[in-house]
Amino acid sequence: LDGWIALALPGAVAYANSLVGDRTHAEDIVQECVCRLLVHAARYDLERDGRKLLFRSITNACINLQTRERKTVSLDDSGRSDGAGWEVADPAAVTPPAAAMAEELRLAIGEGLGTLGVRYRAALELTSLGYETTEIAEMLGVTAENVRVLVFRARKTMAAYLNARFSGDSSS
Amino acid sequence: VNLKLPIDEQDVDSLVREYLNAAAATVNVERLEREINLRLTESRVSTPAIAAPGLPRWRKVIGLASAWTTAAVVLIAISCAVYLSMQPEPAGAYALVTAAQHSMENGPDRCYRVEGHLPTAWLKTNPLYRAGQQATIWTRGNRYMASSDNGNVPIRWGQDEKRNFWFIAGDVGFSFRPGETPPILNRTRMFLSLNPRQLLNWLLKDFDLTIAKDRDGADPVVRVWAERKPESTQIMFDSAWIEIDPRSKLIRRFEVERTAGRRTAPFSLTFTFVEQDALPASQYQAESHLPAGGELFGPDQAAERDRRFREFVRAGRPVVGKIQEAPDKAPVDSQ
Repeated sequence: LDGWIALALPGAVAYANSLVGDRTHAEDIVQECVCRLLVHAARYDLERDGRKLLFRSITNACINLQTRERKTVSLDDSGRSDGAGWEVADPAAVTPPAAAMAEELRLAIGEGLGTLGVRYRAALELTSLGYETTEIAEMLGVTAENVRVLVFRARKTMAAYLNARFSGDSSS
Repeated sequence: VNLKLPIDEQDVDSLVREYLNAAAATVNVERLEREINLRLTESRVSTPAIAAPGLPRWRKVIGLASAWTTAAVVLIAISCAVYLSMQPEPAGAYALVTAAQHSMENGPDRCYRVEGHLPTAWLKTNPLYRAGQQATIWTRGNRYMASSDNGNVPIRWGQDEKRNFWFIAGDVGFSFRPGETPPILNRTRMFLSLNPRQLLNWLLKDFDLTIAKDRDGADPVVRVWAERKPESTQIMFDSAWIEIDPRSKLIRRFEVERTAGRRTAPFSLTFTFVEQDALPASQYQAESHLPAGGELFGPDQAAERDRRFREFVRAGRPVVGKIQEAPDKAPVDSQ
């Protein structure tokens, strides 16, 4: 596979995982999107636009999965309110307190993102990854103004969630 | 980790970015590339050249640079793997279990003997459990192949590289795409697969892990005790013992247990490592296990397959061997 794919894959899987909350689904979606891009490679300049097209394709696939999939409770996810998978980096290289704090923060951010609707989550994550508002608007199929609103509200919700979480207020 | 409270809305972007980067660092690019190539090959779609012939020279140069970039990335990945393999053994329980999970996802094919002590209600309704409560499982990443021969009718079941679930009883086989698996088989799928992603992810996320017995003398195995966090909503099991070789990160033994609860029946499952080998990929596919003259009903015959499967479940076949039943002390959750 081309170099741009290898470089884009980790971020793409992390992004998809955050949107669908399941690592296996996320990898499946990413693989499918990469395959689709490669099959239609002749239509695009993948060296230049591949990464953006991949994220766009992933965004659509994840939103479709989240909004159109029949909501059923899988026994594989039984007991999880959010159904989220969890991957933890090997913390062997860091001290136990730092690892515990990092894990706590990662957990809180993951849960905070999980409280957002999928479009809010996508808009916030794509912004944090450095995409322009117009690019995100194109990916999500909304106007740039809508994107700004989505990002503004998502940031506000996340900040409120994290502040409540770390100040010990469990009411949120 | 340097968290300043209160968190400003403008800080959210960087926190989310760090969160995504940390998640990205856990992605196994090589495995994903292998699977993508497999998909492209199996769907008989040749990978088109990204750069069409006749492109300007500067595009060719970029293509060449890209190839070198790929080679460099692979080289760095290999160097990292070698470096990590030379690192000291992980000291903490979480680090050890994470390393074992990584080893399981990327290591050779491994065989485990599975012994179960299951609620009566599961045995009555699930054809795979009825085959006996002992099985042998071969696993490779998210593929697995299980067999249970302690009855008159041998049963094989498994999951292939596309996560299609299949099982064969006697001379009849059924194959299901990921979204098609009958709910009655989901629990079997989850537990008997020894799915490292799911089971170990649960342990890392929802359980308190402590090293109960550090290795001593000649016995290199570390025993990790996993107990469900009080706030966890995961209800599939309450506790687990994992025995891990800290040097090879091999899981030698894995026991999960659920005690009787208000709405749950007790059960336990024990996975014991038997051997590791390099199995042909075909061993994880249904076709390899179908006897001559046998019939496999797959997604292309979904209606007929589902009808036959319902008949199979209703007929109660195969009822074999002596089944050791766990007493149902509490109402049993439905399958």
